Parts: sequence; C-alpha cells; structure tokens
Amino acid sequence: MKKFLVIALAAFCGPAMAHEMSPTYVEFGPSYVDNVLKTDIEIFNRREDVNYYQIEVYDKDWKSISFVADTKIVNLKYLEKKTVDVYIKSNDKDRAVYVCTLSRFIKEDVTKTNVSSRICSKVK
Amino acid sequence: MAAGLFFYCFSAYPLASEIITGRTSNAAAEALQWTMESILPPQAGLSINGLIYQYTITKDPDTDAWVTIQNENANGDGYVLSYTDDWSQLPGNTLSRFLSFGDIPSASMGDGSIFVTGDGTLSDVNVGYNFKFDTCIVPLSDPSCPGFKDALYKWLLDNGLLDNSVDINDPYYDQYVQEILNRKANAFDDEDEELIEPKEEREDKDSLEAKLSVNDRKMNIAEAAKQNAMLEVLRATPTEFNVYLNASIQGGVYEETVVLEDSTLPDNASVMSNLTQSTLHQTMVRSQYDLNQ
Amino acid sequence: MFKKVLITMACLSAGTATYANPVIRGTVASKCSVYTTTQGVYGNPSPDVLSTAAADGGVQPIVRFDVAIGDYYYGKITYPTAFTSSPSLTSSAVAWTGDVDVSQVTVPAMSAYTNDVVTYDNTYQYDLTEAGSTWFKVSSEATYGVNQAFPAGSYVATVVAECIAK
Repeated sequence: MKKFLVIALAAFCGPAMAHEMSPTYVEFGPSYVDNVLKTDIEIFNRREDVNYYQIEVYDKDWKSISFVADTKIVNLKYLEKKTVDVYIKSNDKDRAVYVCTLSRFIKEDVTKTNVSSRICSKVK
Repeated sequence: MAAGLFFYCFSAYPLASEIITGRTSNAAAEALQWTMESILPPQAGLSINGLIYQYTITKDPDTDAWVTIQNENANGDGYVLSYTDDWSQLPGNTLSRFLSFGDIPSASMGDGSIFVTGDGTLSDVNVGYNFKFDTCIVPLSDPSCPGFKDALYKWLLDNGLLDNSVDINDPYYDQYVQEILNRKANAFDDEDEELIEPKEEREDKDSLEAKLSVNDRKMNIAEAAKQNAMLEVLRATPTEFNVYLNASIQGGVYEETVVLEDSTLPDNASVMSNLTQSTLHQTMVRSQYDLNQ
Repeated sequence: MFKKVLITMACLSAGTATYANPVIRGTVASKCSVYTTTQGVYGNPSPDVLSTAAADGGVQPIVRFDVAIGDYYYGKITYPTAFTSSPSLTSSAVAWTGDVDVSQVTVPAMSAYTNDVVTYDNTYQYDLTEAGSTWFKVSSEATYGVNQAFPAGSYVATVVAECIAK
C-alpha cells in the first residue's frame, strides 16, 4: 500500500478569500525605546473584497490595551503580505494576551452580507 | 566535463516534449463502482498522481461506520490504492479530501469503488483522478519529439521500406553516392553542348541586326538634318547593299509542263439522281400549300 | 612562492565554484486561516422577514477555517444581530435569530465539532482539535416588528469569524 501525502485543500469549492496571520504565539521583546516592548506579526491578505486590516491588542477579558504600530489600520492589497511591528508598554506585558487583526470594509464597498474575519495570536 | 556540460545544456532545452496534466470527470457519477478506461483519456504512458473525492454520509452518531475508497491492482492481487475514513461514533457530514501520491501507471489501476462498511449511506459522491502524460512518450507521434528520426529509421527498417543493399556505415558509401551524382552531372554537360551552336548562330544574326537597328538612334531619325546625315553615311557604305544591287536573277521562259488532253467528259449520273430527288422533295413541300387538292 | 599560492587559490576557487545546490527551506508552524467561501445574501420571503435560507431565496454564508496543526486554535463565528447598513428602521423592533453548523470537513473527526460547540449570545465557539479544513455555514434571519414590512432598500449584515490562539 502506498503512502499518501494528505493535503487539506478546498478541492471542491470555488474561489475562496482568506485572511491569514502568523505566528500563532507572539513574544514581546525589548525595543530600542526604554520600557517599550515590541513584537512583529505577519499578515497575508487573500481577500479580494478587503484591503484594510485593523490591529488590536486585548487582555484576557477582551478589553483593549493601548499599543503603537507603524499604522493601526494596515493597507494590504490582494495577495500582499506585510510584517508589522507592534509596541506596548512594559507595564502591560502581563496584561496583554491577544494580538489580533480584524478585516475592515470601506462603507461604500459593502453591498451584501459579508464576513468579517479576525485572527488572534496569543502572547507567550 | 565538456560532454557533461553539453548534455546539461542540451537537456535544459528539450525538444517539444510536453507534460499534459488534467483531472477526470466524476468517476462516481453513475454508480459507486467504475472502470478506469471509462474515465481516463486513452493516452500512452499516462500516469495517475492524485485523487480528490467528496461525499456526504448520513448516519446515526452512535453507530460505527467506515467509508473506503479503493482501486484494484490490474496486474495482480490486492489494491494499488485504498483509503478508509473512520466515522465511528461521529455524526454524519460532508467530507472532502485530496490525496497526492507518486505516479501510478494507468495500466496498473484497476476498477475503482467507494463504499460504506457499517451503518450509514452515501450521497453526493464525487471522485476525480489527477493524471499526467508526456506527449512524446512515443517518439513517432510527432516529428518534433526527441528521438523521432531514430524511431522512424527503425520503423522503416522493421517494415522493409528501406533499401538495405547499401550500408551507410560502409566506408565506400560516400564514393558510391558521388558516382551516382557524377552520372547525372555528365548528362547535363551533353545537353549544354547541343545548345551552344544555336547560340553562336544567333550571335551572327544579332551582329547584323544590331547594325541595322534604330533603337539607339530614334531621335536621330526624327530630326531631318540627322536623317540626311544618316543617308549620306548609308550612301558612303555601299559594300553591304552591293549584294542586293548587283544581284542577277536568271530570266527566260518557263514552259508549261502540265498539259490537259482533250476528251469526252461524261455526265455525272449521281448528280442527275440527286436532282430527281430534289424535284420530288419540292413537290411534296408544295403540296402542303395547295389547298384545293 | 606567491605565484604558486595564487595558482593554488585559483584552482581551489574554480573547483568549488562549479556548481551550487539551491536549498528551499520551509517550516510547518501552527497557523489559522479564515476563508470566506460564500458570501451571504438575504432573501425576502415575506415583507417582514429577511432570511439567508435557500428555501427563502437567500444564500447562506460559508466560512472555512484552515488549521495547520490541531489543538492550537478556537474558531468563533458570530451571526449578525444588527444591520451594518440599511434604510431607516426602528432597531429595537428587529428580532434576530441565527445558527452556525459544520457543513463540510476534511477529517471525519471534525464532524464532532457540532457536538462540542460552546454557544453564548450569538456566538458559536469550536475547539479546532484537528488539522485540516472545516467549513461552517451560517444562517441568519431578521424579522421586523409585528407584521411590519421592511422598507425598500439595501440591507447588509456582517458575520464575524474569528480564529483565537489557545
């Protein structure tokens, strides 16, 4: 019996649009600014209907934590990949649990029921 | 190393050999068992390297069931391909799966099937095979395929379509070919010699005609002064025309040589009969118009 | 001596620079991707109802989660409870219902997600324990007041699909 390589693909589906983010577990490390920690996340846009992703940082109760990034709303063209640096205060290191990206729509472009996607990585 | 480099360069640019890939239609469209001949294209050297299938299983979540998809080994016992999904103690659902594996020759792929073992029923089954083949697997299939010439030569030899009396590996082969060519070359030379004489005669005529031609002197002819000058020149060169001026024609009387002797000329009887017939014909025609008769 | 060294170095460099083996590296890491397989459409079976059910002339949105390594993520899907855009409505008069269910899997064990789902408010949370792809279909229905007709216009609602690392 031959060995098989199983690949999970959407074999029978039509074109699908995807939002991807990595890594699964992010780690905040020291930055060039005192008392500020930094991590980086990579976002890949495979959604033709979305060009903007909002970066968010939450605690365990899903409350927002203040942070700084190159831009809080990242502009990504279709099939574009971007790495974004996220900075938080050292004091918030223990509070920060999730770093997320959420797809955002331009109001005029929303013409039918759509799916908003959010992917969250966990802080180690 | 040079040979190796040459081979690398040569192999980097293959001649017109193309790998065609594709996917079959739904093998389970009619039934949950199928023959590979009915779904695979009839290409030589075709191999299968992937399987995509989808089905919906309806079952009781508390029962056991297994779904197996497999292909028999056409060259022996057993199966070349077999995969089982375990649905035991699980609710039914729709499953999609893609299996990728090494090339399996189509000749080895026997009949395929998908079935349920245990409690459950299948519906909406869709099975497709990924295949590929080389368009030049048979070199004779296309003149642009590598090895086409060698294959063609072998085919001609095998079918007795080549003259084997002359061996191309014979060291005297080139001399033999040259002798054949030389024979043909000699024939051409003889024809050329026959053609040479008429050309020489034509050149003599051309020289006289060239002298009498007025193509180059049209403007001279149109002008009266130049015409007079030309006539003076003609008068001054009597040698060519003296031939005509001094020609003498033998005169005398030409006596009749044909004499018709007098005699009686008989009447032509056939003419008389023709005239009789003509009269009769005319009488018949006129009778149409004679209304009193 | 220097000439000999030069010649030796030239031979060595020529000998080592004859070929290169490009290496392709990659790693398989835990990763979650969210795909929108089908956009939803509201049907209008009666003046006061908007529904994604196929029988009502609608289209159910379908979301797919791809997980590279199992047991690293939760999948959360939230059906809408408000319109993103619509004609002017009395929002409190709109009643929302919805449902999320597993519609297709690549591994049989994923069908057990239906049994292990955690629901709260309008959110369905699944523990993505298996590596592979799972399709979730979302149904949504909005009813306007008591026998009140929805005004004419465009109605858009949003389904939120989230992939949360454990």
